[in-house]
Amino acid sequence: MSLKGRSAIVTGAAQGLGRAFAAALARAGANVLACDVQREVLGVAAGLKGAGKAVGLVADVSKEAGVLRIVDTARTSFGRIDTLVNNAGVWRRTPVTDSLEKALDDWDFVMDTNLRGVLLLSRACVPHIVAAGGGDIVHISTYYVLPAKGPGTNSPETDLYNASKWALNGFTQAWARVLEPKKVRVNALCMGATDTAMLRGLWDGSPPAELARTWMKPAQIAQHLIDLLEEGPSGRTGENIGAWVGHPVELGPRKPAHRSVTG
Amino acid sequence: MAFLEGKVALVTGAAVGIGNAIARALHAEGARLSLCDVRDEVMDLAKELGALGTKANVSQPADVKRVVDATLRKLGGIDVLVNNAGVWAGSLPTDDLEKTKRDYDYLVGVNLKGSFLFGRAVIPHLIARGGGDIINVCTDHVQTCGSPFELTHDDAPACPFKDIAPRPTGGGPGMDLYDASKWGQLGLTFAWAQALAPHHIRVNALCMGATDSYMLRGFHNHNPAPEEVARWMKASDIARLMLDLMRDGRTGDYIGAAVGHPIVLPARRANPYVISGAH
Repeated sequence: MSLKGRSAIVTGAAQGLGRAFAAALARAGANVLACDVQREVLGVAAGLKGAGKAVGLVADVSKEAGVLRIVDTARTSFGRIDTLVNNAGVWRRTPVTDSLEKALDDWDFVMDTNLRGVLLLSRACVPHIVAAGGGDIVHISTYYVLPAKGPGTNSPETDLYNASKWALNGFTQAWARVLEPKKVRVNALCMGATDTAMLRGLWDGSPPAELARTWMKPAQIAQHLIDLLEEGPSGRTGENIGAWVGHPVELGPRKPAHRSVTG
Repeated sequence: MAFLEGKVALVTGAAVGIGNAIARALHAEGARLSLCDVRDEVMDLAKELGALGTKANVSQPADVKRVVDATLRKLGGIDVLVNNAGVWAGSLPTDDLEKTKRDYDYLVGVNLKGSFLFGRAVIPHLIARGGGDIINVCTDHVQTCGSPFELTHDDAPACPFKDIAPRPTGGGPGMDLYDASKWGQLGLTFAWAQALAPHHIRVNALCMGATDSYMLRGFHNHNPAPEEVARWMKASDIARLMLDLMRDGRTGDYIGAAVGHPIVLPARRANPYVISGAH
């Protein structure tokens, strides 16, 4: 299915994966609202090339006011919302031996964006995606939530980051089921090491070149997103879609659904 | 024999249901107990078991600190933490923002933040004792047997749920925030298991299905049909499973228990989410 004329929101679009998602969606002909807490997102939006409109917005998904502004801006700019890419995310070392005071600060910092931000923005978008006749919610998760293909998974130094990403499983799974009759698909991209500002930040911005060379590129993951969206309404839903360093970045076969007795 | 003689165990949500059964099982093994709950009945149970009882809300940092401080003061240390306190409320992707904010604070606050706060408050004291156990009481909703999340055992022929239809998994209507909070507990479990292995502290998750408990009875307006109750697992069986898990000594595992299947500790296996020595 062509993405031409579709309207997409990408959070955390000032850099890294989010910027690549915005660029790929614009190239595919979609209208793109690129949001970020960083002002650089305005320049990113201004530079997007494609047949659709591109709008930049400085907004913080960890604040309800930011969430509401994102939805209002998308509606007034495009008249509809078809696709939400929940990409905005933060990372912080949270060693288990830290003080309880730091732990509390870490909880708010990590969870308000990675979990509560995803929740509130998605809740605010769902009525509009449903009104548009269906569409997509895509979470940007991590390969931690899939069986490891190598070492380095579920870092012991980042319990809250890990928990925030595992928690997204609950949203992906439940929303996929509940929103299936409304033709809203919900999936998560769960990639391994990708060359982004977040990952480079682990080495203060200067990772060893031979290591950085092995990483996947944001453009690869962005193409992964486009492939997923182009599946259209009959495509997969409720899946965690993995991408690993050293393996082909491809959607792979759909996984069989199973029934639930819950609820 | 009583294998927890001389040990101190802290159980959250101990007033009723699974927490109550866990407290009794730990007591029977000789542990000295610190029990907390938002419910008054926790004081009755504490009295009955000669335990320290505290009324506390696990989602409130000041309450967590108060329980841990009292435990250290009265019982001299902590060897075992059971993050059992949990709540359920229905939440849907079509809910409005006001309800959603309340649901987030309630469900994520108690189930995930409560486990996080108690874990973090207790960990330094477990380290000081030279070892111990953390058990996060989770749910079978995270035992997805291959699809869609490939968590576990159950790509393998040993999947505890492979013969059960429909499958006892999460993702049902009303479950999004509850399930998210419980998946989040697994994230904590896997990170803590790795971080604390050098300190001889084991961290595991107990992921049982339908068990006769206050929460499950609540799903049935506290008036479940007798034939329904007869089907459920017993809280005392889950408590026994937890003791078997502690005796076994493994860490970083997520132990399932399913209605209609024997409630036994599965064999140890490599956890694909915790690769030892990977860091």
